[in-house]
Amino acid sequence: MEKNPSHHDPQQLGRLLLDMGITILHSGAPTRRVNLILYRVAKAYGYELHLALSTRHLSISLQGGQQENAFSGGRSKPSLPGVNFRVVSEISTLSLELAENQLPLDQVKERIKLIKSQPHYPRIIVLTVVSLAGSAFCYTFGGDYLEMGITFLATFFGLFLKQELTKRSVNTYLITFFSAVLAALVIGLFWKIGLPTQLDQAFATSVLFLVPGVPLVISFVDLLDGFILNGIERGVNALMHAFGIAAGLAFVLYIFQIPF
Amino acid sequence: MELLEVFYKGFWCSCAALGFGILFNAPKRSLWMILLVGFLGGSVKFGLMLPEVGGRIVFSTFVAALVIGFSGVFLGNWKKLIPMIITIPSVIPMVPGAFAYKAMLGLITLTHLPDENYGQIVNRTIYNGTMTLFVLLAITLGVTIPLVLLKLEFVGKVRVGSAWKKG
Repeated sequence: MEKNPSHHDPQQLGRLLLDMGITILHSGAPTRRVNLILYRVAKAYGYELHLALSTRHLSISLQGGQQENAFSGGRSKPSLPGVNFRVVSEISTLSLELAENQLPLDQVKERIKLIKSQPHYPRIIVLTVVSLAGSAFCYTFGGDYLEMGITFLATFFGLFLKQELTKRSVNTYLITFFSAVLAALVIGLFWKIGLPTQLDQAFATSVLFLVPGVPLVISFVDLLDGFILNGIERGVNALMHAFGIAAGLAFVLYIFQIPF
Repeated sequence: MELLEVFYKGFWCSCAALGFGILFNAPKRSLWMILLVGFLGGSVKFGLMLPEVGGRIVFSTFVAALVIGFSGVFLGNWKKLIPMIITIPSVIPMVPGAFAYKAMLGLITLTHLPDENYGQIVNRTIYNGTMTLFVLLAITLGVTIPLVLLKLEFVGKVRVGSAWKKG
């Protein structure tokens, strides 16, 4: 550690690292990624980092040049991780930049604030494109154009409900369940009207927008990296979402008495 | 023309990948990569599943996921993006939705009173459930092998393995 550690305030650096860490942890970054980014930034500022993290909690301690403890602290968030790739990507870029050139900490704080306040894509675009993705699924699974249209509608309503319920901070598994119910209900109504085509593919693909793809893949990444506990936690989380989808679909099939 | 059909399916796969990219709020500059990698993955999967090639679904999905994984790492290193941002939306179109759906329906049917068809339903359900599991494994392994096991990803001056070593 050639750099003079007293040049940067360890308290402020520690708080910034906690902020960065918990933000990317909650945007769907694998454990390894969080480790890597925090370690990189701490090293750039001349400190050694030790951290412990689960999927909702992060504690770090910073050691200065003479192995003395310069900062320890923790941060936790009650909610389960969501997905926001833009935040992960930009914090990763920021950390690479900091490794090259140590900006003043106040400036870093502003940058993180800016990254966190960035908006999502407009809601109507998200709804339209994800519904289009739903009908694209339907095609690759062997559906015809009529089924694709119905799947588009089902996904649209399902995702709309999901967004509304997320705003009201309902339990995430219940959100998945109710969205699956609504999406399948739309298909069920079309089935009730009596369309000439089989709606098998439409039923199977209408709920695919709820598939917890990110936790599933990240769970395996964590497991292969040796973060067994975090991997299992994410995997079970994904499994519970899958159960939510299955329950919602089964519920609709049951009330409509659809024979398959 | 079967090859045309393969590319057509690849096109729809890339549409689905784009949808998930936007749902996950992927950065704007990564969207074209998601489209491209999604198309590549879909074409490889359905290409291998052509009767002339005769790939089974688990194998085809695994190869397609590997292609997605490697091209994602390549593009990510080139444009300084996290490969995960490109690869995860691209593999989602391969999620075995139809198998999972049939396995689930089978499970529901198993709650009925057993009759002469019961054994057949059990067999079907186990088949569909196993396929779901293995296709999911193929997807996740295909994406994570280039990242985690081969460590091809660019991570700046710090190497991944050194992140826990002192100093």
